[in-house]
Amino acid sequence: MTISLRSPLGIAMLVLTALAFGYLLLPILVVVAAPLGDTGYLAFPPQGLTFKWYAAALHDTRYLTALLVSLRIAVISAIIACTLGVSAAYALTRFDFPGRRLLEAVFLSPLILPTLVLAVGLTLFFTRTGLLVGPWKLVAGHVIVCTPYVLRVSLPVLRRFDRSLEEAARNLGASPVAAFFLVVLPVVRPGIVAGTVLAFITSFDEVVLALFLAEPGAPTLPVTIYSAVQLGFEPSVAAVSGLLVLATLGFMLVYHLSSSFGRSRN
Amino acid sequence: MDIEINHLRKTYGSAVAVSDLSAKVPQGRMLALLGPSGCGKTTTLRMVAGFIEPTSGSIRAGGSDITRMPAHKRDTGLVFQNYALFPHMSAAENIAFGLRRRGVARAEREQRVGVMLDKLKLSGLADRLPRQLSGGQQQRVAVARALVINPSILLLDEPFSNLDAKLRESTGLEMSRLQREFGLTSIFVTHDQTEAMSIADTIAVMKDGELQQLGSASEIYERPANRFVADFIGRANFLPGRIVSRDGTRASVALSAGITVELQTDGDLGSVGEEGEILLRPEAISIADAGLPDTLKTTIEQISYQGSVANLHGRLPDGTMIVASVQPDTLRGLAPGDAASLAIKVNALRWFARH
Repeated sequence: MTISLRSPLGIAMLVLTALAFGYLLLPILVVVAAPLGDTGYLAFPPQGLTFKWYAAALHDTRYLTALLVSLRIAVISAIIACTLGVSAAYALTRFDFPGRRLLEAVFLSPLILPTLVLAVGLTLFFTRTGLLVGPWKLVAGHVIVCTPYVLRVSLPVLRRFDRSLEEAARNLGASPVAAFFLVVLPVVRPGIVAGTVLAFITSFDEVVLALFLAEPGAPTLPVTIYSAVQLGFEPSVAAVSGLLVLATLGFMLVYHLSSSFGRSRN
Repeated sequence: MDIEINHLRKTYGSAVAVSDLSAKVPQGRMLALLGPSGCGKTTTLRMVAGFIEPTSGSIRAGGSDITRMPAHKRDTGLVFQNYALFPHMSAAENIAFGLRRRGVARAEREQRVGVMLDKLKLSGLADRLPRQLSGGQQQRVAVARALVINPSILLLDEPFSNLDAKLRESTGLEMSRLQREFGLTSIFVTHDQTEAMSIADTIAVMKDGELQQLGSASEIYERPANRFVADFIGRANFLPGRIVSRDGTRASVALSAGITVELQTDGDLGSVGEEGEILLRPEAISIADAGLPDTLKTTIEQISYQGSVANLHGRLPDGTMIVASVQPDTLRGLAPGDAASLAIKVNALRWFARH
């Protein structure tokens, strides 16, 4: 069904769509625009125009250090979560064994467990056992919450995967491991990449576990922002958030351009 | 390399997929596993390819036991029903896959892939992805991919079932030509008896996991081992009757349709008084002049003209339906509703006792 944009229904739809987008995007616009104001506090619309808060954010080494910590933790967590999640999804889709459904539920359970409960539990656990130290405590925590995302996305992809492709590879002389890496993985890659990106974002964005488990001297970016907001709401904090939004935007643009370039090449 | 299947059996819990299958395929010959779906033909093929481990029995290739050998170490090329082309690789990369796995050097690899592309009329399509190829082209890539590794055994899993009728016949003949050219020992799974009869040297007719008959196309058609085979291969009329006299390989059968026919067969024959059916192929029936003795009195229900033959569907006095393939010029103006006399070629009859 097509609706003319000039008809009353069409106009109503346009207005609704605009409102929905506004609802989603305006808060982000506020975050990006507010630190441009010349006042010493956050105001919207910004009064005056200055880049000093953005400059301050860029020059404040606390944020840069925290960003690097966050990136490192998120990358490592996403890689481990990807490996675990894909392996688990492969086993869950490929083999039929008793307790398969239970195992799947266990793997997905961190999605419904409150992060705070997990954070307290892990803190106690690591304090008592001393099993992991330094950044690995936080990595372990993040892997627990990120793996379900990878699993959730790769399960349907692997279920849909045509097993005769794997058999064809085996028939042509590929060992089971070679068949997995040469045929299964490339075919299901988009799903796995999506799951891993989701895991990365989850880890990068996560505050609660990071508050409890991060090394005292090396807080992640969300924790640093969180503490800064608690201490006093300087516009430079908003500027950090604004920079993150702009960086994300830039990343999305590059990704979109490169993938549409890749498509047109084929 | 010859293949020897001995007492092969596969069960899933209490369900029997294949029960006690034995067959030999001599070097360079093609065996067709033929049967309706669920008869165990695909399971058998997958056991030969190494994707399913048999419950018992053995598979030998070229004299050595390969029953428990992992799939990737077997020297078999398999063409899948859905072709199973790797979607992320071009036609040429698909064909080169097996050569790469075998560590064939780049120059030789490219040369062998080129030869295959030529042989299967795929030149110019080398860089296309599978989704950019037509069904027939995909099928040829799948065949090229299986043949390029020079397997000693070629396995075909209903490779033509996704092609349209015209393409199916020409591809089948082409396949059979390639198989002979490469001297490949081959096992071919199909539910299409015409396909099996036109390209296989030997046919194994299967039903419910059990081998019904093993033989050449003509053996199976002319001397079916049981009623299932007779019914499954070609078209068949079964006319109920009773043996009234018996002398060695000869017998007289009184048909419920009202006449008595003489039967000479090297197949099963029961004792006098046994109830059963005779098999009568449609082409062993012709239209006779009215009033001749020992002809089947038939009421014609339908005539379908096929060009070289006409199929005449009629009803016998006892209510049995009968199909006759006759020369169109012998119809002489017969039409549905008319009565006709049908003569039977007696040397084509078989007897199946009623169980």
